[in-house]
Amino acid sequence: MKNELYEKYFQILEDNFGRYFNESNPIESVEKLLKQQMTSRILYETSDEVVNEIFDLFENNQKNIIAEINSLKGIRTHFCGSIAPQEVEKFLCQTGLYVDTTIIHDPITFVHSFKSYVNKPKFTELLFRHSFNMLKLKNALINDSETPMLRIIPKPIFLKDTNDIFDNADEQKLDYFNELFDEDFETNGELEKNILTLENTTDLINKISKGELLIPEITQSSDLITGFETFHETVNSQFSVKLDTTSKTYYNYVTGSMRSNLLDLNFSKDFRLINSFDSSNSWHIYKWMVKNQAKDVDKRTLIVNSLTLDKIKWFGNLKLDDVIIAREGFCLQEFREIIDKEMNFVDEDKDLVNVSTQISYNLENAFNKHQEELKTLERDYKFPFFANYAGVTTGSISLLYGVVNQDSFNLICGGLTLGSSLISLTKTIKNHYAKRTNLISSPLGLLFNVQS
Amino acid sequence: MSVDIGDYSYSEDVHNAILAYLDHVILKLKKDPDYNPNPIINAILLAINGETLENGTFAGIAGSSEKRTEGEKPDELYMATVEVNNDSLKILDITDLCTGNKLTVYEALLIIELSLKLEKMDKNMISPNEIENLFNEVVKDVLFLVVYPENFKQARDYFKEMLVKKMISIPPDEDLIKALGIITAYTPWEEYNPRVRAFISSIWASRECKFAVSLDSNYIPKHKIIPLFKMCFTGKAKEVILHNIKQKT
Repeated sequence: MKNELYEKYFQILEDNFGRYFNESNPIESVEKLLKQQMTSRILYETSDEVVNEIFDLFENNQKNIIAEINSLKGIRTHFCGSIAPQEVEKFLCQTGLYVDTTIIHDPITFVHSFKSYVNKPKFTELLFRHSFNMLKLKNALINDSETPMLRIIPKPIFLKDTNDIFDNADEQKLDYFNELFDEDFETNGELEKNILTLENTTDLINKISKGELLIPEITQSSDLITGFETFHETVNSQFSVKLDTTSKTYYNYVTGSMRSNLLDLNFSKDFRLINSFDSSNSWHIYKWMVKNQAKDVDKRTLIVNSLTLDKIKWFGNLKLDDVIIAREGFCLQEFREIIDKEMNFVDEDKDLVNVSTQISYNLENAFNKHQEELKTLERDYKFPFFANYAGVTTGSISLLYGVVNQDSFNLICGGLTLGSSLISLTKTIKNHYAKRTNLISSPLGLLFNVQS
Repeated sequence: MSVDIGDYSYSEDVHNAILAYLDHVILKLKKDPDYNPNPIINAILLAINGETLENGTFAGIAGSSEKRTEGEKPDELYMATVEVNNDSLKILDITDLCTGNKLTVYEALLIIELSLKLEKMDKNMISPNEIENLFNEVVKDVLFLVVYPENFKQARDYFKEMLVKKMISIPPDEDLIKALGIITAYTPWEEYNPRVRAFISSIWASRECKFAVSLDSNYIPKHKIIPLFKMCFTGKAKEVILHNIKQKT
């Protein structure tokens, strides 16, 4: 079922947008078409077909999709970040050597939910862009790794019983702002009356009592005013409905974050998944929410998120195809042991920084060992020819000249006399070569090359 | 390919818009061989007459597929004339055979856009609010206002007030004057003469600088929406809309 489902998924994308994907620069071509008035309008009306077809495909296979997710083993993470496939690709590169399976939201069915918030050409452009970039994830969905690397969840499976969740989210939001402002608002109405009437950023900042609860995007700015105002501009640029004050923008952002975090938490709980993020803002709100529910963020969640959010996010420099090939070599468990080393001593009260520091230390030790092994192999690569060349004929020496390096060849011809046959020599070369290749293409080998 | 119809000449925009619609038609036909594309495109496709493009000038006629009783006119019927010359296609003419009017390609594309929106609606009867939204979405530079049996009284009362204040005058048309004369406070909207309905609706809509659509029922069958649109897309409304489109392309 599984590959068949995803083959059909990609066939739908090709059928609907294939003509545009064949252009040399598809995204640029589509952007140009969307600037043409009548074309943009016809494309907007016709591009919905892809959404309907994908919805139907997933609806007809819903039970199978749920059964498969329930049957997954190992470390399974639910990616709560951007739905954009480019960001998913980066996430897979960052976590693909540690996590068994990542579950993402289907970008096509999810982008459809933004339809009323973005203007028509932007919506059409998003559909095209996401469809095109999903094709790049085809290998991640259909490959020979021991566990499936990537699986897609359509919106209807993810979203259910939203009323209760949204009520709960509103309670969380109230708690958050009460803590932020050191207030005791009893209802959301009271909260809104106090926050939404704040006309400027200074008024908002003056109300804040616990600045550390603000999202990193704001606190990492040179000052809070700049932080809030830049955040406000960024958010407004993304939506067709513009908000006029920073307090409204922040309030809306927190409202949306609480809801999406709760939806994510519920979904992950149902399928025993780890929630993982690609934005420190979302992670910040998520952590607060977990703590507010008197729970802890467990170590595994900290580890997975440190791969994407802190000092080791350079894992994203890997190429997806390399990660897929490495996984097909059944290397996950071995690599996980390196990452997980000494994690029992990391205090769960600490956060990403401590975990990623420990991981960096583990990796450094592993890299040193890996590089030593590689150097030893490369040194030993000369030795068999050095030590085992007695009785080799002239013809064979000529053949081997092409294989060994100049120094070794000279030594051989210098007349060393330990005995060996040509066949076993060739086997030894082959084994050394294979070991060297395995080391270079192993997770540590791949990571060592991209760490700078 | 070049097209020169009416006041508007062909543009890359028109070419790409038609191609985008044809992609959609091909996809729909793959899934449902009984799918009926908009009759304007059907007329063009019939004119081309299938896969072999011989050089020459050809015409095709196609109409909407709704079944009707004998003698009843079709809702849509178009004739497209094309010229084929060494694999290039030139649309010479699109005529609406129901009205006798020639359509510009922009009008044709607006009708196609409207038909795409109607295709997505799962119902057979369309409400006045939906009609207003559909027309206003398709024709962005002009706003339409629908007057129908459930909301006509304010339009009627406003018309009466303007008449009394002598702020509007009735054209010297005996039939119109006679039709106005028989209206009472209890006459239902459906029994008004259609010209009177149109007159009252246009005065009402002009307060908000909108164009009027007057309906004699609270719901219209889906297959009547495009004919209704074409009726509204005439005269001053059409002039303004096409002028604005031309400015933007």
